[in-house]
Amino acid sequence: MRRSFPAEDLARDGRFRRARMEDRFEDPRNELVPAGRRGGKLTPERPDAAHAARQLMHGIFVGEIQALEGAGRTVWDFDDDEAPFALKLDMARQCWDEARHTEISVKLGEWMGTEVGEFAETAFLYQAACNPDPVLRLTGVNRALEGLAIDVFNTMREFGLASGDPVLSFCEDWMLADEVTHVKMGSDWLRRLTEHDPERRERALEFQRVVDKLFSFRGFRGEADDNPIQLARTFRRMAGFADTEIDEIADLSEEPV
Amino acid sequence: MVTDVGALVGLPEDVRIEVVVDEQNPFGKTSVDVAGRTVTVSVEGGAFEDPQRLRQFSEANARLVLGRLLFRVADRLDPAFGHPPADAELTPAEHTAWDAYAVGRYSRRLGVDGGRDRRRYAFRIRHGFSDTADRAFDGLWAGVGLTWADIQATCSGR
Repeated sequence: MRRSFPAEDLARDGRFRRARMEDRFEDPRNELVPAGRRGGKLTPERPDAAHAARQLMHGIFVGEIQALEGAGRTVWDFDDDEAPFALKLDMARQCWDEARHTEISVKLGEWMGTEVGEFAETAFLYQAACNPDPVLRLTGVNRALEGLAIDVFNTMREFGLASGDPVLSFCEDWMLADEVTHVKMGSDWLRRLTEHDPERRERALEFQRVVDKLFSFRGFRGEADDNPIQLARTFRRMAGFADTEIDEIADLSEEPV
Repeated sequence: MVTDVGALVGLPEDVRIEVVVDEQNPFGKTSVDVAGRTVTVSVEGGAFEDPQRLRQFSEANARLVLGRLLFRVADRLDPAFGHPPADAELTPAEHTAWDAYAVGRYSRRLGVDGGRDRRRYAFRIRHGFSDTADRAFDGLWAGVGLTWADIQATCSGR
């Protein structure tokens, strides 16, 4: 069984279609959208609220599949010198969580009238999980991307509450609790594995910053009303993020890539 | 395609339809202006886009969007339907209710799904997650010969 599994080889049936992150980021229409016409914070008041929520939910769904695949790779890809058995046990537990999240996401998609594969899938989450350094991989996935999941799930939870959707709000709240745990696992292992290697820790945190910046691009995530995804400060604190780290992520939404 | 969908919907042949697509806009907002026998359909490009293929045209999506809009045009042109306000003056609840009525008819006319479940979800956001709201949606989706007053009555029931 190979130790490196590229994103192009991930198993998908005919319902799924892959899109490149570059195509989304470099969409020439992004520069032409008039000021004030952007989607804005995901609330029921948006005219396109249902469509935006369905599209975001499908993004969560494919993200959960990739998170399962990524955590699964981490269980296998490293020997005990590179990653302790206890870390792999945590990743196996995360696989269990992500598999459950995938199932929940499928059902939420059905609830919202979305078909599996209705929207294109970008494989960026899994690509971040391909980093050959287990510390960078954990930091990129469990701190940056699972941290994004905290923001996204909280946004969806609040959308469910505001729109009176009892199923969406309950399920997002339940999954949000797991994401807090996933981030904490990443934070704990980053600290333990780099306790005597500050350079490696800094490389890992820089990789995290790169990933965080990509998902704050063009104001996708932030704390302003025109950011579709809202930064979830309270839940990030519960997951072990310092206020200075959260402030840094908030500032990223204003920076060009 | 526009002429084809118009015929399927049952628009009179003397109705002139112009479709204006803002291809520089990735969003999916649509609106219709009816001035006499001239209809202008304004569409942000994302509405006709294949959600699996960025910036690629989807004929299926375009037909569904046009079917929904042109059924509403047919309603506006029917004196028996009543006198709804212009699209820009409709509330979100009225939009989703009227869309349910329009897409339900389009689905039956063509024998296609028409996205009933996602229409129901959009309707629930505006009208509530309840058995009452679901029954109202089912009535609109299966409705025949409804009037603007019927649609307003559905909305006032919230």
